[in-house]
Amino acid sequence: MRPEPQRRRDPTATNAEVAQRRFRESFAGGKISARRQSHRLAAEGQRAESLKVRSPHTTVEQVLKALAEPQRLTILRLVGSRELRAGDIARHFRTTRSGISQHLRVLTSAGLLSQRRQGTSRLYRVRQEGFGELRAFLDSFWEQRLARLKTAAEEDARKR
Amino acid sequence: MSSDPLSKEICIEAPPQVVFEFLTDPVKMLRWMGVAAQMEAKPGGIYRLNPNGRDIIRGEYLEVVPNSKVVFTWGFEQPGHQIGSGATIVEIHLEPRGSGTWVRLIHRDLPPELRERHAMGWAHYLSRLRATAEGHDPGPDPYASPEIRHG
Repeated sequence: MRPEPQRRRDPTATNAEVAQRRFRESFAGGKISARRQSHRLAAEGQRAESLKVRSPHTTVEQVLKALAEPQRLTILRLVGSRELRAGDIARHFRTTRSGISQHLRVLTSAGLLSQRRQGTSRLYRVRQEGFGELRAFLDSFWEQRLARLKTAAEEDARKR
Repeated sequence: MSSDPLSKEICIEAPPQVVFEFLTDPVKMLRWMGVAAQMEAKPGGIYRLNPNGRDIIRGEYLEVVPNSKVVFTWGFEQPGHQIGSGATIVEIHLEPRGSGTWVRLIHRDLPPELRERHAMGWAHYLSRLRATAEGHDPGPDPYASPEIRHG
């Protein structure tokens, strides 16, 4: 195997120097210096910061992704007609409480669940407005059909 | 070890004979509970109900008094369930109250750690029984999902 000269241990290096070098190398395999790396992270942080204000509307895609999981669909059915505590929701499933908490977060951030605190527990229920985008998306196909039916029916009527 | 019996009561605006049919006729049973059922409502008869397309509750009728009382054993057929077949007992009492029925359900010999889940489950099912027996559509049953843990 070919030795890598720059990785070879320098017998004169102190433990502190070795530790510092390893720290630098831990960023992107040592290809970028620690200083440049920290600049890059800061720039990314600023970009992320500038995106913190988000539209209150969720996308159809986000809603569909939240729906496309059997346990999450079941949670929605459970809280469709009544408000339930997070613990009571979790009690209905075989999986761990933390897994259900994760599902509750996904559904809440997709706007499909509303959440409120009562004492130490959180209560969840379906947020009907959250389905508006998806409903409009589905309705758009139906409206296209109806428009086509109207055109076809009117053409047919003219021919008679 | 078992805890005190679990007891749930509900008033239904339908006569006892109507409620009794919803407890003993498998076709009527499925309108408020389960996705498949097999039941012979007579002492020694089988009680078998699939609540969610995955688990199977199995028991045997111990006592059947038309329009008044149904008692059956209650447990799970498949291994891996904490409550084995025949391990617990469910009693359902029906009493006329005006033009309706007072229903009292008692579930005996439940392990204490499963008590709360069963209390929630029976509350859910009894309210569906009430809606159905009173002539309403109870709507799709969220407990009929295989994701829901029974037992």
